Amino acid sequence: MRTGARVSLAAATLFLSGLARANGFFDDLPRRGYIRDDVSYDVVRRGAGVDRTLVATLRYMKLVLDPSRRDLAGDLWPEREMLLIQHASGEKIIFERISKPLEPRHPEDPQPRSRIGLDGSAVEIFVRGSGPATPDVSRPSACAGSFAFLHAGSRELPVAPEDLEVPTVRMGITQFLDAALSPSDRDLIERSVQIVLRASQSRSLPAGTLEILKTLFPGKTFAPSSEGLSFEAPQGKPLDPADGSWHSATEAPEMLAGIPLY
Amino acid sequence: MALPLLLLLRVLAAPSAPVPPPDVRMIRIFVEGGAAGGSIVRATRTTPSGTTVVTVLEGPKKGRLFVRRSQPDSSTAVYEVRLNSRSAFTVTRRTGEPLLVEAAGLSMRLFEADLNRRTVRCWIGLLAAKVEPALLAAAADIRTLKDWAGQEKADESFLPIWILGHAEEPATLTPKGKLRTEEGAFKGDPWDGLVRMVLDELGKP
Repeated sequence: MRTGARVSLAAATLFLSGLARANGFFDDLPRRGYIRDDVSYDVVRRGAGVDRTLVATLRYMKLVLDPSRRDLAGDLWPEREMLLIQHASGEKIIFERISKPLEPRHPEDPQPRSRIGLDGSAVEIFVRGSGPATPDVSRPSACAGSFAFLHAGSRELPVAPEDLEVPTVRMGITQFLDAALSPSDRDLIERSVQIVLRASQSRSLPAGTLEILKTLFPGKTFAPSSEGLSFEAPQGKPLDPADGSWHSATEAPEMLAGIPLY
Repeated sequence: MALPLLLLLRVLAAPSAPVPPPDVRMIRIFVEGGAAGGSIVRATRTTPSGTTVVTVLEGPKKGRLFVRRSQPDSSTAVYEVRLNSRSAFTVTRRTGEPLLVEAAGLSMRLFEADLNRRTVRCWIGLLAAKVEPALLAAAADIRTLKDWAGQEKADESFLPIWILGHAEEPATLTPKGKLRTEEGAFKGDPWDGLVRMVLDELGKP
């Protein structure tokens, strides 16, 4: 058994912890939010002798989540940003970011931070703060303290935030993503990010939801689309995160217009 | 066509070079004036393809730690550590490549320079825990024993132990008293069984 064949077979095996997360990304988030920012665009390609061609539709929303607590000032409420992109091909993708999350029930509980939702799959990041490094009997002591947890399906990979430049860590994250995302998923992410970066340049579209890329693809530079794209007011209905086809990817909360009354 | 076949048959029929007998060492380790100590048996076999070293350490509670280093080819060295009969935590070193660490069907590539990083230490700990959580404590004990014995550097075949030590699991062993070692051709229990075990391990491909 101790042969080169065994070694090469094992090399193809993914390193993963296999620890299924008990709590889902949305489980501890308030289920109702007030819409603070909301912008939609049709992404179109125009050129000499080329008619208007719809490339994608996107919608950016920022929700202030109502924690149903009277003791927490409104500016401390959690925020959820959602950037939905539907390509002309029908492919859908959502980038999400949670800011100002509520205190976890236990200091050692990781909190949802950011997410890429695809049709039928997702890559998520949970973060455990630098609170008390309570010994966790289910994990080696080297895994105590502040960590980000990359999560996809039943796979989980802890990464210390300061180690993203470390070659071993980069290689491990690559292995993790190779198992979590298909080549077409990666291509969809790449194409979508190019559009968002372009929209961010030309329309000041907030691109904070792309923060997740720094962890998932450390060292990789994403460039804005070089195509002649323009961002126009949508001709159809804006993308609806609560709509049936989106809901499985977003688990959208109840969304209310206006501002909360205290 | 017949000539190469004849040559092949002659080569196969020729007596192969005798394999030299393995070198077997037995070491008793104990604390002066203390309770029962440990037993170490180490066997080494050198062939033209490389050297294989197998060491088994048996503690006072009959727990056994196997350490094996083999060299499948001139550019590859495989290091294995196993606690009792559990599956192995394996490290493969190939020239010009990062280490390949494998355990319980999982693997990671490891650049040795990254061993002190928190993430890497955590991953090593998780991999080891997949095989046998007690392996981390055993590795910590071996390190304690090495320091206790005043050894500067561990044997090269103990590479997995050195790697596992970075997970920084606390040792169960507390140095107390003067540690003594005694080498000899011991007989009886547990030596006969341990020698048989290392020779069996040595014979495995």
